[in-house]
Amino acid sequence: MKVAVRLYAQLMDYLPHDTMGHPFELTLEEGTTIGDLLARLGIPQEAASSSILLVNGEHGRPSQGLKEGDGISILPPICGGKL
Amino acid sequence: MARGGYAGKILRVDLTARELKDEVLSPQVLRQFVGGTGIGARVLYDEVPAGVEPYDPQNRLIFATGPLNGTLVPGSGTFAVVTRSPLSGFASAGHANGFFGARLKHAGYDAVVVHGCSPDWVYLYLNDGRAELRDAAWLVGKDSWETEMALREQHGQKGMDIGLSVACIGPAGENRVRFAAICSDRGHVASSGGPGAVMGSKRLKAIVAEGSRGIPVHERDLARLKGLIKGWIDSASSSPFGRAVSKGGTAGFFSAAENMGWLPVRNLTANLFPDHPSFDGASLRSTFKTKPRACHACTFAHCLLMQVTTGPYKGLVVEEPEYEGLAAWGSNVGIVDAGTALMLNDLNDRLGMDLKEATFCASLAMECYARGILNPDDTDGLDLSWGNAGAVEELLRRIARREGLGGLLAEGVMRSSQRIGNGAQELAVYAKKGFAPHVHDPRGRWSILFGQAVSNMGSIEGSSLELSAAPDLGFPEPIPFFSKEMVPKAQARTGPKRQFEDTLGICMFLCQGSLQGMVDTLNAVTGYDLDKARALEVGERIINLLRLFNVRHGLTPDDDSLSPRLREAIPEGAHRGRSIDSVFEEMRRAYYAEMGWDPETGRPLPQTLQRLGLEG
Ligand code: SF4
Repeated sequence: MKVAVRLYAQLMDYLPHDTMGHPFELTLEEGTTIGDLLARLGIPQEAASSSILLVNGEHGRPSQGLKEGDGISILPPICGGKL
Repeated sequence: MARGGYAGKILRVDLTARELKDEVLSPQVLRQFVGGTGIGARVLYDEVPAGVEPYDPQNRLIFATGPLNGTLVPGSGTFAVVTRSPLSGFASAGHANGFFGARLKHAGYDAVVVHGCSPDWVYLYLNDGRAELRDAAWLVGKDSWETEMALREQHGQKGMDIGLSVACIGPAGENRVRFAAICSDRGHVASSGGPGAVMGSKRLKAIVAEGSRGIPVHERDLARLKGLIKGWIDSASSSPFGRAVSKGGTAGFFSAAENMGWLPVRNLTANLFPDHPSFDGASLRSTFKTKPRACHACTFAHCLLMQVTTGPYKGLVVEEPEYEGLAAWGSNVGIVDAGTALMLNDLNDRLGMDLKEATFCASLAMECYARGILNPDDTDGLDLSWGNAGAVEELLRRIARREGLGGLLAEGVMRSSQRIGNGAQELAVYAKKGFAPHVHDPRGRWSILFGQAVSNMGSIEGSSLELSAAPDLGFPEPIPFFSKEMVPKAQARTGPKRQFEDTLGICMFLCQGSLQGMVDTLNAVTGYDLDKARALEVGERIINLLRLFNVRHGLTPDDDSLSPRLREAIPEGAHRGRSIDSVFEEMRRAYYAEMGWDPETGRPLPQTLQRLGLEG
């Protein structure tokens, strides 16, 4: 299955190539979870567990399975009222 | 009684009588309100009765620090400015980082309370416990940066940042642009609610603060104090948010904002901005040249000087804008060159205007122009087409001078839309009290949208929790997007924490660590014995006192609301079709109830006031 992935802020260090701000497409095996995806991108456990994970604009969990066409965004938390 | 943290006196300035007087704040007030917005709210409530209008000499302009200002705590240069706002007629509280808050304390004062109106332009000079008013006629007409540099030179300090600090107004404040800001330490701006216009109405051009007074500290064991501070600040700077802001600035979230549907595009007529990558922090900081420029004692150091290296403004050196500045002068006015947005952001700071109001005034005029509601006759020939940077530049200057259409827009978004008429009110972006929101398309993040509607102070009182958890406050996970149940709860519970933080005198970026660490540091500096619950109560007390002030000045639930544009559905992008309109009133009632206020009137209930030690 194909999914679209976006990484932001310091997580851009894990971009496979320069696709800043744009989604990049990955082909994954059926049954892949968000956790598997984080590992495949090389995002260390510590950074992964504190990141905000969104699937199609809704909060997701590492154990959640992905499906064809999903859009996944991974970013650090954004705190405060103004930002 | 506090045994440390405070300079021990405040300065009262009566500009009409040209009288300066030291006063001591009661230990009870300090304990209940701690500092910053808290002290400001107490003084405002006690001294500005109904009938005292924002430009009335009897209105108060309060510069207030907190007990951590000027100590070894990193980022402790922040100060608060509280007044009755000329934009809304309600309370406003603005904050600026930098150095001024620390230097006010080193000059010997916890706060400066200004009233009256000087017959001639003056500035206030504070040095080691002494205060005097000096002639400022020679500074009139200078922009905020020129004013700061001229005063630095006058007082024997060349260059930036060292020795003394200046907080001043630019031409916008002199001309009572309703959203004029107070600018300090070049690029740090207290702007929400237009305190610069009140300063201008009093003919006070600037305050200069310098001195070498130490801040007494309760904790005798310096190693323990340093350990506490380190633990707390490390928790802030090693947090993922802290690392993100340190690395890419708040601009590091620009692309995220666009992709997730909360970037303001052309006065919220659109939601997509394909040029977003060149505005994102990662790109800005690699394309443009940077030089770190941290605030008082800040180890976090997210502030930078930035030199534009491409495009029409190549060579320009300015403060790196925050995300909001880039959104304001990029996407919201249709400008696609990041260097141009840097130029406009700098110009707006120099003229001394609130970014939120200035951009949504400009974008209102531009949308009116696109729709033929304003024509070239109305704009004195300015071509206000989206993206016309030269026209935006000239428009900002005309607003600051109150010239032509600029004079109309100088009244702020809400009033200008009413005066333009012909449907402009439907297009204008503002919260009903009369403040433009933070520079987002807040329709894409309801915490910000709703928080802006119910806030008592112009800026947002609480935090948005869609993209961060707050375990200290009972939110172990981020709240869902667009939740009519969770958003009011999150605002009610995060408000007290943010407001407590804003009493301390430190930058909000350093408040991302543990609440316990913050409370422990405050206790060690002051000798107070607050626990987390009592710290949150301080914040809640401030919100309630500001609400009482606003009720006194006519607040009704209708003022806790949003302009038609902000209730419209998002036109495109990630959240196309989403609107708060049908659930807003229900959310407001839930929020009032959560706050211990009457769900119908929004007024604090007697038992709430009693619990907080506030009179009814
Ligand atoms: S984090 Fe940034 S704004 Fe805050 S005190 Fe440090 S340099 Fe200043």
